[in-house]
Amino acid sequence: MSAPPPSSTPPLLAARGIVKGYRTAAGVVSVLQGVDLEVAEGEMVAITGASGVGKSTLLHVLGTLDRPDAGSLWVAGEDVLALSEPRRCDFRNRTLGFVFQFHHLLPEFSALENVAMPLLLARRGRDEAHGAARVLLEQLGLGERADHRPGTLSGGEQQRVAVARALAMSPRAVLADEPTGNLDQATGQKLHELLRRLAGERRLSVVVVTHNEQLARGCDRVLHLEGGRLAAV
Amino acid sequence: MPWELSVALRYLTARRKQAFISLISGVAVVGVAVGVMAVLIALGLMTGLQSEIRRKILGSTAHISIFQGRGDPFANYEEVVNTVRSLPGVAGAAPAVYGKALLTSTSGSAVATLKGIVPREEATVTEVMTQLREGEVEPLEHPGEGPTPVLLGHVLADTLNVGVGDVLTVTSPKGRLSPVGILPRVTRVRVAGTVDAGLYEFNSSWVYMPLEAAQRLFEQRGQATLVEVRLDDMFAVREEAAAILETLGHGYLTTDWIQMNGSLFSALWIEKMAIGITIGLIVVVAALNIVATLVLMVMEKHKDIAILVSMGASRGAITRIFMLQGSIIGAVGTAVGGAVGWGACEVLDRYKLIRIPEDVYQIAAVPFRLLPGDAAVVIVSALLVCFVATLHPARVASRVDPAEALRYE
Repeated sequence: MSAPPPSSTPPLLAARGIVKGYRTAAGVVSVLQGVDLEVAEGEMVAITGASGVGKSTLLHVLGTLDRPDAGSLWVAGEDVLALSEPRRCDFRNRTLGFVFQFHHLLPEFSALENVAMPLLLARRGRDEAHGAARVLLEQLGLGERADHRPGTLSGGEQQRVAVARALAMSPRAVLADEPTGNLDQATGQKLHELLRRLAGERRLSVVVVTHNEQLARGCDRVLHLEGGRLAAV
Repeated sequence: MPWELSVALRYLTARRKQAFISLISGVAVVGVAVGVMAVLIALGLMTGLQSEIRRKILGSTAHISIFQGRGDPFANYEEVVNTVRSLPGVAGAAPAVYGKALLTSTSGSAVATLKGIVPREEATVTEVMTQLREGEVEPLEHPGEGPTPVLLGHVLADTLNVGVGDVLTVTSPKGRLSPVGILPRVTRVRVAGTVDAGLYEFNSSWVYMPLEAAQRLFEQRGQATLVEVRLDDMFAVREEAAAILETLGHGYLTTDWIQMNGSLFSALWIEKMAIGITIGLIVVVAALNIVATLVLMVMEKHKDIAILVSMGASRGAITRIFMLQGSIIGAVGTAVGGAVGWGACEVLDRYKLIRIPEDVYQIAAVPFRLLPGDAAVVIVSALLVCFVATLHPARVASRVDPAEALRYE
């Protein structure tokens, strides 16, 4: 187990020397070659980079969905790579929220049920989970659409439902992978502002992977991934 | 309701883009239902046949027969009958004399088994007295003058072309010694009635006559070949036989209906098991449908699995979702198959819907009797097979790499 990063105010998220590669028929492709990243509580960080450079891979590693080949990762004071699988899942459920480019809502469930799902995973009661989900949807202006299936919602609405779902467990950090990539510019701008506002209101750390330079500039910090390493812009 | 169950139910009941998966889910349910139903009906049929054959055999034979140790007829049979009757668990006891003889009528002859009985006592041991097809038993109670009254199996009566009131000649091989050798004993008997015992063997070759007449015919005056016993519980033969032998003391032997018909019932049991297992393979094939359904479902739900994992679902939870789906298919199929199978057995038995030639099969309609134990074994086995079918797809689902599933969107 590696030691937590020394700091007077420890960052909410601290990744050190993250290395990740993939085996292909042509050999091992090294995607991340020693990424260091710290994100403070309430900070919104944008990660930019060319397509295929490993932004999503980095986000998956930060979100404990993928395991790095080397490096350490501390989130909310927890050495997440040292956690057992069930504890890591529990930790992910309580501490992290995800927003994906294609929203990835569960199509068989209504907007309300999608938002309530993380609460149900945490073994909260159905009434409690649905109540909390309804409040969140109303806060995001989707109260009227709560009982609609994702297929009947617009792209912007679907992405706001995905944001509500990411916030359902009141996580410490939200990891967003091209959250506006599938939206028109105006809707994308609104979603970005929403994330920005929520980060401020909830002291939420947000890591956004984006191609959109304009949106990236609206973040507290912009980091560029190139050659398997992050560099400040 | 646990969230895994609610997801499993929603996946099963939701309309899907891939109608094929819905179709094979339905086929899997129907397959399990048909399999369970078929096994239950087959077992019901085999048990029904077994029970019917047993009932018919026991209608004409005793549960336990008591012999003298050396196989000689015994003279103290009345004492034995009275002693055995007083034992707990014994419903009745009666003496009997057995022998083979040639029956001759004006139009034919046949070798038959003659059983000498005391009708009133015989009624406590077998059901022959209630199986009269025509005629009456009363003359056997009070033979009076003239030819000895006898009851004939109705097939034997047909073979000899005789009816009630007709006279036959009985030739016993146990004859008298004469200067020219052994002379067979010949006597005349009158048909007092015909009997339908339900089994061809009895109907075609058995004759019942008064005990004294049989004793005379077979040279066993004042003696009985054996004493027959009927029990309250026909399956308690072993314990009761032991109790009888202990009470009677040295010099007696017993045999019971299970020993006498062991090979028949053993064959029926093996047949029942073989049919049950063979037809049960339908359930296994249906379980393969469950595997196919779940594997396709896992492929379709790759991204959903990744999303659930991103929300914090563990591998165990993902495994449970797909195990539950397969188990629900199995449970619904088993429930439907169980209900239809049980109902079919009830209806087929009550209304005797499957009729068969009685002269060939000795029963007019195929009987169905579903034992709760058999039904329980089938249901538990079907559920188990369906559950086992979920293991591989559920494991595949739990191994979905969320990062990979989300990367290639």
